[in-house]
Amino acid sequence: MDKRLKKEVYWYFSDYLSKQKMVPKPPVYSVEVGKRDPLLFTFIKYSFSVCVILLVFFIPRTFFLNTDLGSNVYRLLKMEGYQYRIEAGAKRLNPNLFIEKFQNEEVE
Amino acid sequence: MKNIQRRLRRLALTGRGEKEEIFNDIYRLYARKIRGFIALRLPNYPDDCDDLTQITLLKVYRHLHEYKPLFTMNTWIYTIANRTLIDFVRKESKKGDCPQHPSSSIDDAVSPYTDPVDTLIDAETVQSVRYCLESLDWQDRQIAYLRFYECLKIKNIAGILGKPQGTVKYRIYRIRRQLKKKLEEKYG
Repeated sequence: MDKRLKKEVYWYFSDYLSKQKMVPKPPVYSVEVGKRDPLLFTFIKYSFSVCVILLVFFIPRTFFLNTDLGSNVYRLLKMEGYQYRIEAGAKRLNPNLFIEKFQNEEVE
Repeated sequence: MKNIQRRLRRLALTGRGEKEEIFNDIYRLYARKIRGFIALRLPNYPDDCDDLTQITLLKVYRHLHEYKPLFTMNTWIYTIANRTLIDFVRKESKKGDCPQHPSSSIDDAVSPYTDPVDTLIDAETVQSVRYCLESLDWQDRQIAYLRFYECLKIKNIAGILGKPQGTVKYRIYRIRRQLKKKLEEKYG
């Protein structure tokens, strides 16, 4: 398209736009009221997740441990845990202890 | 415009910047353009054009921080305007009173422009170009507006109007051919 024609088309549209009414500025405050602060929203979201985790894992445990059955089970689990850890630790530290123990048993 | 775009990018990327100020600049620069773009589709419904322009501007304001620097600001704003327009037309057509573009036959088109400055330059050429542009289909007028007034790339126009690039290219070619033909008819 030659320059002249391009210019004409440009003038036509600039004339067309100049005849357009200037629309009043939209009421932005209506958007402001309902707007969501991204940082605050993220913070609330993660806080909520943390609360859910706390509720699911810790609160039932506390209630359960307050009962007789709960406290006994917990104590048993704890003791077994310790025992296991002691054995595992011993094994790791000095496996000869067990070997000697087995050998002695066999001799006996 | 580059300045606004830079500030908008900064706002989108870092969240820093005066949202109000950026929006004011966008409003000053684009309010008339958006209305003009919408009025190409709905020339007989000025109130709807005003409403749609305001809705578009509100959407722009609401999503200022979501602007993707991948696109130019022009493309982004016109895409929002076009989608708002499409939504409106679709909604109205469901109701049964779809806004129609006036008949766009060449015979009916009469140019309302009689600017004395233009008549000094070359009244006949100006009138015939206008006559031809007004006789175009509304889609072609939108494409002509985006291409020859806003000087957007074909890729961007296709993105705004949601059409394949080939279609946009062909339509531009057709508009050019029509305009040239019209001028040749006039001057031989």
